[in-house]
Amino acid sequence: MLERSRVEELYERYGSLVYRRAHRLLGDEQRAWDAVQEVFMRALKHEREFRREASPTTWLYRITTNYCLNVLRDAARHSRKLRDQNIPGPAAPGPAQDPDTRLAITALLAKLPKDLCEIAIYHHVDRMSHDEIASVIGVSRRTVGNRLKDFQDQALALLGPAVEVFS
Amino acid sequence: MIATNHLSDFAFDRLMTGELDGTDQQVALRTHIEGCPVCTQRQNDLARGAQAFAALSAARRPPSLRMPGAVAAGRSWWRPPARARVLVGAFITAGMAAAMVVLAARPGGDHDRHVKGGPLKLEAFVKRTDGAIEGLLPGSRLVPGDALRFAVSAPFDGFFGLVSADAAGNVMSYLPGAATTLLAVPAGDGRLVDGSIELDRVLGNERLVAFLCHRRLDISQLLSTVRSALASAAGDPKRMDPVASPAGCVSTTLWFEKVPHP
Repeated sequence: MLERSRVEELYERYGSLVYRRAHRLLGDEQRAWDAVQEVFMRALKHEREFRREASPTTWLYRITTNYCLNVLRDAARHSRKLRDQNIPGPAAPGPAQDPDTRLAITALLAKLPKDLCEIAIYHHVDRMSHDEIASVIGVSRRTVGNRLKDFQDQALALLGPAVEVFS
Repeated sequence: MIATNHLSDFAFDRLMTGELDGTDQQVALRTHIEGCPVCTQRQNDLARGAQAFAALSAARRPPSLRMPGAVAAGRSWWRPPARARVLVGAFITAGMAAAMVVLAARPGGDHDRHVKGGPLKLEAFVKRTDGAIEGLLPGSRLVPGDALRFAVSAPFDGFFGLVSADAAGNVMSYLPGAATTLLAVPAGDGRLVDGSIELDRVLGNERLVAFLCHRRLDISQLLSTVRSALASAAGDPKRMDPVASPAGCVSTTLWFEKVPHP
């Protein structure tokens, strides 16, 4: 377990970036606080892994992104299930968009592989460079480029060429 | 590559948290920011956001960061109550389910397994007015202003409600709070319920009655059940146990005593 003073220090230094990131991806204050809690609990629980990280920012970006992605994918699956039964569900979390864009993103998150969604978020939402994405997920720049291409191809196949993904 | 040459938030975050201190990258980024009004503005915005977060998070700081000793390990923190005796955010979120890391730190915990077929279990945690947090045992002495949070172990996928009966004859819904129908709860062990309740000034014994039902009943049915039980116990919540459950429901109870501030 991380020492209390160490956790306090991490929270002081990195709490705002985790919150900002979660709020941006989930579009909801309450869910963003849940994310902050979950991410720091994981830091407590996975001390060894965390200590090995040269850059806590990198580790926290990844954990926060994956946590939010799971929340969004769960919500997307849930609302699809409700729609299949003609039951209007609550609004899924996520930043406010027009209904068409929202539906498109929901479909993508629910149906495309999670690793592709993660990279797409870094690229299209965070505007990170390929080098930065490569450093966060631990792959080569070339792999980043290939996966972004896979994401684009699959998204277009799913939604049709008229839809601009994460515009 | 991204078309813009402006820095990403990731780069700002590494810079502003000091991870790049003393590196060539730090120098390069600082030089860029000095010559780029857009990035200067973004840096200022992020700095303001960090300050706002620090102010907001003071009330939400994990108790693990405040509490001394062994109890500090991995506890969830508390959301500020909106008003006395009203549950804040009276629902169980996926996020809070994940927060069961909290409970895994308890001695003897076995919180990853399902408890299908087992009993309904209600656990309560009290945050004292001095910030200390402890598990609530039957008969614990609490004071007005103490805050409660709950964890539920549900033996089946069902609908959950939590009703309180106090020494003044008040019977009220803690969960689902202001809503009229019970909350959907999946089967599972030690699921933390979102939100907290701040105890009011009514002193004496108080009993919490948790119900898990196969159907989504109206909370009024549970309130009626508890009122009857309280009447049968001559108005003493401590004597209410066991409480008969509506058909299709199981229940469990927990009582405590509310005393004046010392």
